[in-house]
Amino acid sequence: MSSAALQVKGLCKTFGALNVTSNVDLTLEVGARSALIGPNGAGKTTLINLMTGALQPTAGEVRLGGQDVTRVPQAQRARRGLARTFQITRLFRSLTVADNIRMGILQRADARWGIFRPTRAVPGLDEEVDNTLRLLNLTDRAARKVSELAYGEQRLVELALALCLKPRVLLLDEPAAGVPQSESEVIVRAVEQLPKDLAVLLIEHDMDLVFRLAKDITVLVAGAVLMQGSPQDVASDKRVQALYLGDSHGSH
Amino acid sequence: MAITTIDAVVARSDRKARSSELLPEIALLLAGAALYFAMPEDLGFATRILIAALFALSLDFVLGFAGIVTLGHAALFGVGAYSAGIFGLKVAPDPVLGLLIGAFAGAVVALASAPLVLRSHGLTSVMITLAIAQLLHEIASKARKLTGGDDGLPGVLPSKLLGQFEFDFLGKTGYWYALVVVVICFAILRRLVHSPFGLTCIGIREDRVRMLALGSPVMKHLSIAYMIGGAFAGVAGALSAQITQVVGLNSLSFSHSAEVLVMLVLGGIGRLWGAVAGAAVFMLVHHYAAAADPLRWMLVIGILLLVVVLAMPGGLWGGAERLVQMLRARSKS
Repeated sequence: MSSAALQVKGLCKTFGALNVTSNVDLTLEVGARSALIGPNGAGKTTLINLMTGALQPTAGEVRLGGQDVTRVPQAQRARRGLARTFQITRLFRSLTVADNIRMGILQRADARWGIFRPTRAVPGLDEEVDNTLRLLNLTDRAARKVSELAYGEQRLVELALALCLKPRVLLLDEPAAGVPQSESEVIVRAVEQLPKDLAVLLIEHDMDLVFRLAKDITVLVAGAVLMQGSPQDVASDKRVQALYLGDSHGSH
Repeated sequence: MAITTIDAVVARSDRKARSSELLPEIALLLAGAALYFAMPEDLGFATRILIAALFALSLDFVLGFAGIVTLGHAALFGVGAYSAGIFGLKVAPDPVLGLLIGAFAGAVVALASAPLVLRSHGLTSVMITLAIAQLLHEIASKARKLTGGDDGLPGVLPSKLLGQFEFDFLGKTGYWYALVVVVICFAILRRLVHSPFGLTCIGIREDRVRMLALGSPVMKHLSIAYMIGGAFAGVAGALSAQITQVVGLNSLSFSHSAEVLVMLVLGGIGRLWGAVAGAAVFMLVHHYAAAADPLRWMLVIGILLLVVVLAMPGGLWGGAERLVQMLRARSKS
């Protein structure tokens, strides 16, 4: 039996007559640093949604830590260690950074049902909030409202929220999208410092980022896998070159 | 003179911290007592303010914290009122038992309707809450044997409160009874909204998709929040049945649902105190404006609502809070 952190086999998704995902196989080993690339509309985010359970596949299966979770609802998959970030930041903007993290940590366990103890008095919670903030260098932002942060910092909170789950698999949907160059370095460093046994799948447009972070790359085109391989293989592949130099040169 | 040890200081500040935790409840109790002495001739009306406040509080929990928009909140109030009324008539007139029956009935109806209300969003969900309330209104209207239909359920005088205090015709016992119930409910709700459960409600209100990605069973959580709101609305209904000693179809009506929403918006959504303030202002305006001009009192409410919605985000209570902050800032500088 496979003990891959996350594995999808023969995954298909059709919307009416439209094939947005066709027969995708993808394996993330424990501690993987993989990337998923492809042009706009290749179905990258759909694939993420199929993995997390936000969408149900038309065919195929999703296995998490060797167990079939194809029919397991999204929230339960998350509690079993499958975390994601969003391409467009989804944070609790009116709350402070610390309360965002608090929210995330409380969802991981049954703590969210706590009724009579104030949130501030949940044992061990503040300590974990501090640790998470420190991990992402957000300690001095703890008491600030998320809406007051720079976008790059918001992306860090986005990452922090996903880490609250103590995930085994982390799907990063364009973590540096919309972040000015000056701030993206912080995010790269945060991703580099993620725990070694965490399997990471990076969905990115930014090739510099992909080549810095990923050890293997899957290229998705029109919902199907074009090729899988090491960064060198992918960079030297003629089809990929045509794809990237051909249509996205200058547009990003 | 006693020697003040560090331990004693710690113990004292500890005690202080604990008693200041109850400060809002004490403030509410005092405000209620003040109301009692302000209108001794009109305790029936004062009691109705308390009941409206509790009803608005229950809506604030559902709408302000869990983000469930409803135009059918009267369904939960009415069911509580009828259950407590029927229970008082047919089973036992004990008031506290009646409250529990009302809470239970409100909770059951909320939980039963939760799958319908919560499966859709926005306008659809609002229409479903409306439809459920109309449905119950229709059932209550047709089930004459049980509810009295259009004539309403004739009330029964509750037995002595805790076997001690007789409900007098001036409504003194009724008032204090209602006040204590409202303060207790307020205390419970305040603890709820500051608990992890309450924080999770706020998270779901702000971003459902994110909460699912964080592993939160959103539907289950919202169902329970709706059920809790239903229980408190049911208590408000039961109180109303016991104190006014009649349950009319009006308790289930659309206008009742709309009124409580107006109260909450007036006072300020999502802050508990707003519900109390909004209910008080609405009821007082109703009382005095309707006495002056029985046909056009809604005009006053309408203008007030317009001003609040357009100029005071956070309602009257939010506005008052900002005013206090401004005054404080000015006195400091």
